[in-house]
Amino acid sequence: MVPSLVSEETDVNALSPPPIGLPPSREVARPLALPLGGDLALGRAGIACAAAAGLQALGGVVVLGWALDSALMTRLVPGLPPMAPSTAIAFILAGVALCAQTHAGGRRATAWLLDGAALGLMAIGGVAFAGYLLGRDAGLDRMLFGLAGAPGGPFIPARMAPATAANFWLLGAAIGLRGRALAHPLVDALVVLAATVSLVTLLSYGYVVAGSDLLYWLDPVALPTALGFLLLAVGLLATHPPGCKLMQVSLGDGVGGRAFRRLAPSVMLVPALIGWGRTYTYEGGVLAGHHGVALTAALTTLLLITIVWWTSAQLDEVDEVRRERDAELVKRDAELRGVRAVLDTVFARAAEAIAVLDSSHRILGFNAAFVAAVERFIGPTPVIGASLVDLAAAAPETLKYAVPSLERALAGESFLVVRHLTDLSGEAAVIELTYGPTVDPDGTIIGTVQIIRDVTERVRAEEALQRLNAELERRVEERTASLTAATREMETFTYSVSHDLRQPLRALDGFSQALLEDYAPALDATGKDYLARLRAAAQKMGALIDALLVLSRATRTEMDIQRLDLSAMGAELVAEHRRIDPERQVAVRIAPDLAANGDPRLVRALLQNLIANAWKYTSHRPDAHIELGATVRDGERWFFVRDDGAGFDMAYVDKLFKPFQRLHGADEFTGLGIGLATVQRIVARHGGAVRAEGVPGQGATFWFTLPAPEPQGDPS
Amino acid sequence: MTTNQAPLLLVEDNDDDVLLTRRALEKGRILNELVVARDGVEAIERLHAPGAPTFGLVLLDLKLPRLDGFEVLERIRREPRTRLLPVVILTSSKEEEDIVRGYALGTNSYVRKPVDFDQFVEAVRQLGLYWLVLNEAPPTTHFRTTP
Repeated sequence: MVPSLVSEETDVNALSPPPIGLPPSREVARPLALPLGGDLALGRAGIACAAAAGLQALGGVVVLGWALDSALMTRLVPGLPPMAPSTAIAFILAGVALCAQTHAGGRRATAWLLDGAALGLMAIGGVAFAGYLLGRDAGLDRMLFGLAGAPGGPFIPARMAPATAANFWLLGAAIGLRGRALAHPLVDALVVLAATVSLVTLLSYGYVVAGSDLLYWLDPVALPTALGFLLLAVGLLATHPPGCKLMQVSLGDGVGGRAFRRLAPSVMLVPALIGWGRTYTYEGGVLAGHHGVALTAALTTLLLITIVWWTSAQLDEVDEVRRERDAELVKRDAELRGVRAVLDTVFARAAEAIAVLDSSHRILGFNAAFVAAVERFIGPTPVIGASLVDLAAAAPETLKYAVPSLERALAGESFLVVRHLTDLSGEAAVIELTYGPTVDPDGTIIGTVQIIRDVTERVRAEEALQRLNAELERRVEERTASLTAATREMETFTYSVSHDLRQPLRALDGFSQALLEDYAPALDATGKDYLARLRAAAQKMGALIDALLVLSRATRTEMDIQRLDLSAMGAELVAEHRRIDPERQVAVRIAPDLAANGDPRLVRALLQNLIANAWKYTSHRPDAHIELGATVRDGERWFFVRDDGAGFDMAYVDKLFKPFQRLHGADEFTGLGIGLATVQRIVARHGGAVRAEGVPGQGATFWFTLPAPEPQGDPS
Repeated sequence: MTTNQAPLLLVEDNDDDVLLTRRALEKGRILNELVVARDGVEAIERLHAPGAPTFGLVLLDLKLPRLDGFEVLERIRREPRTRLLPVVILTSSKEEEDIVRGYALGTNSYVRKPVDFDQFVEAVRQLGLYWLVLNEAPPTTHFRTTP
């Protein structure tokens, strides 16, 4: 059976949680700070460019020097051998090649230029070298500047030195070989060899003060030439494409590169200085022979070991930092594992069916509830890697809405959809589907998550609740209607009572009186007494009916709540009693400003009943006291009417507020037993409470509460 | 001071009350002729019939068969002949609603019949004294319709 889509209601954008992804890490991993300095300000290209410019400048100056016949410009230090013109031109050529290499890597024209420069350098070197081997000067320089070898010297001036020629050959080969596969170590070797030759020359010039004959072994390499070769070697190494181990290490960002740049100057400088020192002492005869050599060796060892020690210490520091960071990473990894384990448990145990999908709707993960849901509504068991679209294809109706929903989630939307379905067993169900995108730590959407919740029970409960509410409302309406009817009946009844019950009483009383008046001679004393009792009973019943009417009015009249001045009301009522009963001596004390909210007629009736009671039950005392006041008890304001009259026994306090219940005999105090019942009803209608306290023979206090009035001065 | 000798109209359906009222009037020395109407319709007939006498006072009960007291009062006030006729509602009811309605319809007084006959006598005596002796009745010409 294929599940059918009974109805569909979509609650678009009902919710919009943040896209699902990894929680942000507690802190951004801080970069590893190494105590080793030596950041490379210039890049490789910068170094190469500087070297190329230096070479061209050097070559240019020397050529100009020959043209102007300036010893300074061709020799740098007058008295030393000059750079040959052909050497200068070769340097300019090398500078151009270096520049071309830097600016356009790998273009065809560049390749040709490089090859041409390589061949040119090798040719110049080769011609000069051949001249030495053959014992004949090729005359290249003289051809250029028309220079003749100055007679009287051991060597032909301005002729390219054999070492120079060899160096050009080496460097030309290096330029020619560069860019050709598998030649990197060879290129490095050639360049380093050439650099070594020029270094030897430079050092020799440095030591020449102390006297050295190495320089005179062959035609010497000129000082500017040696400098030029160093520039060229550095430039070539700098432009060497990745793969040149030497430059990779020396210019690298790693600890090795930094260490190299720290160490290289000292390692290069220390032997040179020690060599110079040794030469000086040798020349001066201070430490000649074996002692000098031993001292030199020891000094070199000492300095180098110091440098090595210092570097090692620095490396240890780096290592320490790295170890701390590793430990921190391990700790964080463990924490993440813990979080992951908790999340896995939550995922697995969730009552909601959850599936995580990639961007092409393939299932990356799901929980047990998802398996149950798919089996219940679609049929097949889901597997990791399967496409959810393929899975849903078993139920075409499901497929119809699944793909658009997943696409919406992939577009970044988070939303909730409620669907009414029938499962494979034919049972109706309501499910709530939540779709949302999943993101990688950069916030890029990498897939979706789908959460399915069975809300059938909840929806049913809601529907049941709605039905119940409707039923309840209907019942309330019915009750209200019947109550209204009852009230109307009650009113009619009361009206009849007031009219119809009183009429027979009037007849009873009236005709009894008529008998007494008109037939007095026919009656003896007992007969007259009976008639008098008849009249008294009729009148009492009239009073009872009136009291009942007051009581019922206290219950049924509509209330008009307003702010009342109980003090003034009490004073009026007391004044009325004094007027009716002028011979009584009653000391009345009324607290000022007793205010409350209530219906004026009902509250007046309430006070009237209490004051009348107090008046009545103090009638046996020649000096009675009545007090109307208020106190606060348990945070509530209680009004009270207190008297020092007959009081009552607290044992009967429960009967006090019931209609027609009396605690005193009619012979002692007249009354109907309806006043306090009326008081109680009036207070109850105002939402208040009433209490009574009494001691027989000492007095009674009646307490009641009423709604507090709004604060005075309120404009509304 | 002269006593108004015009007859009184008592609108009352209860025989006991008629008897007691008559007795109370006698005891109060109100000797005017007493005409009794047993229901509202009869009261209107007595008042508005051609050649009907001009009454000095109407004592009107509220609970009456056929037309009740309020309707009778309404018709009395609507009819030009009886528009100014003094009417006293004499009833058992003390309902505020009835009192207000009675005055709204133009009653001159509203008196509740006490159960105590002595008080009733006193009330009727005072009514007679006031309306028939103390009070100046409207001129009788105003009662008549122009022929």
